[in-house]
Formats: sequence, C-alpha cells, structure tokens
Amino acid sequence: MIGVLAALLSLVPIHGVVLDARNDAAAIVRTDTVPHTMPSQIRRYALEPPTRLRAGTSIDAFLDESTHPPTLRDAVPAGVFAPGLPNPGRVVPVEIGSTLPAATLIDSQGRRVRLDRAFAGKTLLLSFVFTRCPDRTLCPAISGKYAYLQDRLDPKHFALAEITLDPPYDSPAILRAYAAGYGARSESWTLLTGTGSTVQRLLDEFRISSMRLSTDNFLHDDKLFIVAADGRVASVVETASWDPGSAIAQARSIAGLANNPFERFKLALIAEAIAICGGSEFAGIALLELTLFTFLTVVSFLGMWAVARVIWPSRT
Amino acid sequence: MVRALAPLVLLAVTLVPVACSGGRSAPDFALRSDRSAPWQLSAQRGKAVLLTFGFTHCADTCPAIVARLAHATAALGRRAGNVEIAFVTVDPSRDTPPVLHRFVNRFAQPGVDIVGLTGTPSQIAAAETAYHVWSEKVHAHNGGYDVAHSAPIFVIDPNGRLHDVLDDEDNEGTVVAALRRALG
Repeated sequence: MIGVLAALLSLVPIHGVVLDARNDAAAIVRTDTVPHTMPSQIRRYALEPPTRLRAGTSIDAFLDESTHPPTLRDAVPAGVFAPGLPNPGRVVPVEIGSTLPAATLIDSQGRRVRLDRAFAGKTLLLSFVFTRCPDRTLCPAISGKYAYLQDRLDPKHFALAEITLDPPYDSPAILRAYAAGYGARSESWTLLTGTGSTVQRLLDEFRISSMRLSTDNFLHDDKLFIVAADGRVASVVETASWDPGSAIAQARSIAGLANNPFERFKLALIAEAIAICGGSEFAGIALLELTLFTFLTVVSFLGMWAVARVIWPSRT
Repeated sequence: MVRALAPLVLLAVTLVPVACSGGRSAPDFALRSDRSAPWQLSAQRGKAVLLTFGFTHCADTCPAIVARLAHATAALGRRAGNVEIAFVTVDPSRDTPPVLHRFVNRFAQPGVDIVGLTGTPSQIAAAETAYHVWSEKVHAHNGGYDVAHSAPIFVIDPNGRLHDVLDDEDNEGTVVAALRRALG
C-alpha cells in the first residue's frame, strides 16, 4: 500500500507532443512510452503552472498521476533528446571551483532533486552513467565502485550520485531496479534522471560528449566530479577506471577528513595547481611536475656547487 | 513538364488541409460494425463521436464506461441524435459482430446510437496504434484470458477533430459537458 501511495505521489519525466491546447490550464498531449511505467498514450492533462502551449509543440514535462485529470508540471517546449558533442558555448561550463548548476532532476522514487541544493553540506561524488550500458568496464564498473564507496564513506559527510545519460529510457522505475541490482542505499547513493532537455543541458555544462551508437547504446565521456561541501567542484577525474581507494582518499581530503597530513597536503597542492591552470587536470599536474623539476634542479646544482667549493677552495 | 508537376501539385493540395489542421484531426480508420456493415470514422462527419476501446468479456470497466457514455448522451435530449458512441474491441478473436451486437444492445436507450466495431487483428492493431491505445492479452487461471488495456474516451467533434480526451474516472456530468462543447 505504501508502495502504491509512493507511486501515486511521484513524478515521471516525460516527452510528448501537444495535440490541442484549449487554454493555458489544459492540453491534450500524446506522450512517448516511459519504460516499465506506461505506454505511449493520448490524454488530457492539467498544466501546472498554467502554460501557453500551441498544438504541434513538442514538450518536456513532469507527469503527476496523483490528480485527475493527470497533471503535467513545468511543461516546456523541447525537442527529442539528442545527445552529441557538448556545446559549452551556450552554458556556463562546470569547472574546478564552480558551483553545481541549478537543475531539477527526479530520483528513483520520483522525487524532485535540485542538483545545486540537495547535496549541500556533504562531499559529493557525481558521475554520469546509463543502465543499458553493455561494456562491463564502463558504467557497470563505475556503479560497482560506487557500491564499494558506499560501504566506506559515512553518509553523514558524503553523498554518491549518478545522473543518467539516457533519460528517455532510464525512467525512475528503471533506476529503481538498477539501484536494487547494486544494493544502493537511498541515504547515501542517489540515482537521477530528468527531462531530456535538462539532461542535455547538464551534458553541455559538465562537458560530456555522448554519441548515440544505436537505440540502446551510447559512446560517452567518463568523468568523476568530486564536489566539496560548500557546493564547489574540487576535483574532476577524467576516466572510468579511477581507483576507488584514491577516490576515497581524495574525497576524505576534500572533506577535511584525511588522516595522513602529507596526503592532505599533496591533494591540496594538486587541487591548487589544477585551479591555477583553469581547471585542466593535465596542465595542473604538468605545472606541478615542472615546478618540482625546477626546484630539484636548482637544489642539486646549489648542492654540487657547495661541495665543489669545499673540495676546490677558491684561489683567493 | 506540366504533367510531371501534376502529382506534386496534387500532393501539395492534399497536404495543405492536413498541415492546417495542426495535427488535431482524429486519425481515420475503417472497421466492421456489429451489424456486419463497413464503418469508417470519416463517414461520421456531422455527428460527434465518443470513441472508446474495450472488450465484451471485460468484467467491470468497459460496461461501466459504455453505460456512462449512453446515459450522458441520453441526457442531451433531442441533441442525442447528433452523437454516436463507437466501441472498438481490443479482442477481435472473440468479439465477432454478433457478440458485439448483443453487448451494445445491453446499453440501448431510446435515441442513443451505439456501434460496436471489430475487424482483423491487424486492423484493430492499426486503430490502436493511431490512437496510442495499449492492450495486452493476460492469461487467466481458468485457461481463458483477459485483455488489459488503456481506456481513454476520445471526444471527436462533428468536423472530425479530436476535441477532448476523457477517461474512466470522468463522471457523467463531465462527459455531458464535453459533448455540449464538441457539438458547439
């Protein structure tokens, strides 16, 4: 019964086409299929907030079945979800030091989650995956490592989140099944989907390329974002094959919980160097190594010079 | 040259009304009525059509919907003659014209026009696809089967346009109000 109530109160992101809009409070909409949730259908919906929609407009919205007629919330004109190369020109890109973008997503229970607010006060590890990913070394590997992190990071200080790259398929119901498959606990690990237009904008903002290879497969960038408790991105790991042990060390350091002061200093140094290089991990590490190389060269040269002075005292 | 262009002109002429209708025209389909006569939606222009989908072995929802639509139509009084209730089966293998005829007669009221519609499985599937109606056979324990289906009620105005979509939770008053608006 609780399950039924939860289902009734939950929101489902949908895409559809307006067939007729009598006024700004109601419209007849043909919605696309939502996997494991509902077939494609034509129904009359209440619009909340009232929205002027023209017949023939393609829209994204959140479906709320708890009312009669059902309600489409926050309906906006939007094309069909079509990922591709990120278009950072249209948006403010997320880089080291920037705050998370404001975006309303839906978790596996159908609840709204504001990306920029929901995880405030916790160190967040954020990745992008899709549930039909067939390559065991990519998304399933990331979720497998999340399962490992979940057992080692205290949910009081840390949060894990995965955003789907395939919102038309990855409905809240699909995410619920995926989460159960990895033993995800809702207090520490959040799976997020959203409308196609919202996710497409996030891919632009987080600069993630995603190419549709077939109806059910994508070729995409893998990035792990570690976001500090103040909501600022502290680290970006640009691979799916990150080491969970290092991720834990890095997350604990960002949270100010690293127990080894040298490790904390090293990670702070790396983060600072990356920030100086405009968020580029490669350039940051190159800068650090160049500095270290210069430092060692100068020190050894001075050392040798001092030794030479001792061995061959000056003629003066 | 003119002859080569003729099909293009013809195409343009046929496409213009389609484009101008803004996708609101109710998709046309042709089936067989419970009196075994051909029945086409576009031939019903001039009348409002209440189009719904169901099956005669349906225990509660389908008869309740047809009964509600019949009452709502009767409530229009003398304008009831401008309305036709069309019940499309989602179970064409069992719902032959005679079976449908007995079913729709259960809801007969003076002045209320109800037609039961059936066809080949592919014709029914085409009508379901056109209206995005979903149906699926569900096997029952006694060896028989039920057909789970969505049950929208399409209100089509006398010009053949999709005017409103109701469902099984809408009461008789809502149906009457929708019909009055559709009839103008």
